[in-house]
Amino acid sequence: MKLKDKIILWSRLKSPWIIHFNTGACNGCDIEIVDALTPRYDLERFGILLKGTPRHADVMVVSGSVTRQQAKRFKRIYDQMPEPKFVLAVGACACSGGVFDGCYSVLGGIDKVVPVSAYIPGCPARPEAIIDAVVKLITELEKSAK
Amino acid sequence: MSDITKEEEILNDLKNKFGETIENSTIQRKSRIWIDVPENKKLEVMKYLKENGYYHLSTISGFDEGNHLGAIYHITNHKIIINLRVRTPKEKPVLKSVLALYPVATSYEREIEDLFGIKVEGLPQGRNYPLPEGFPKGVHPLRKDIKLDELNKMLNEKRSKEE
Repeated sequence: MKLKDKIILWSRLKSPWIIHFNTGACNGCDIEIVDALTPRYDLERFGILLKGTPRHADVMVVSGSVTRQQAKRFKRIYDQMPEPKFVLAVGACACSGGVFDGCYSVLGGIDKVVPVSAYIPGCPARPEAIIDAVVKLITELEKSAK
Repeated sequence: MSDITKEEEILNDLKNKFGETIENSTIQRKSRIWIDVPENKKLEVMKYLKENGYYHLSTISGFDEGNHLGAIYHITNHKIIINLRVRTPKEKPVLKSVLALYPVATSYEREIEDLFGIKVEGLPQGRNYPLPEGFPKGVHPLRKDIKLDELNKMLNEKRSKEE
């Protein structure tokens, strides 16, 4: 591996920046995500920063089942992220549609629209579960690079 | 039953004022009055109510009774809720807009239009609400004759065709 690639990999592993996107959640999972990011659980110690734009982000953290209105916009925001990109599905709704599955305005889980890297079940998902998924994602990345 | 005397007074006052217009009325319990009014007298009754302190249109809910569609206007003075029930035939469901009296009704009426397919006369043109954009015309999900499985199948086929 060239030095340049090594530096890129190191920076990627040490500071995955995230963007949070709500595709139609009830806000339960959003609160848990905020909880995981703020000092009590402090995801920032892994170098994780919440960014305001998809163009700066490596990981998209998605909560909620995809509504039919949101699907097109969600895909568009996903397409705006630079490669390589990863998607975390937080909560039962994002994994499979949850209690909203089968409603006329809901498409289902987010994997119907974009490819998903990790599923975090729970209603809402606990901050520990979110941190666990993040750590697993980083270790898998590390393994695959070697 | 002394705790509903006030409600009886209000109902008697309405009956004296409008007579036959109030077709059917019940006092469900303390502070809950239900009255049925015909569509053409609706605005008159509402205007009278608004002049007498019932200034808040809490929400409008729709219903489907088979032969009739309709709407219930929940009007309150923050102590007593008067529920005005208005019916309209299913073949040609039309209700007049109450925007002139209660400007807050915009979103409720749009919702009635989308979910029950009741044409609201006097409501300005706008996009779908709360149904998503591109939803098939003439499909109203809260009507009783809609089967959810068939509707979902149709919507998914439409989506896969568009992709």
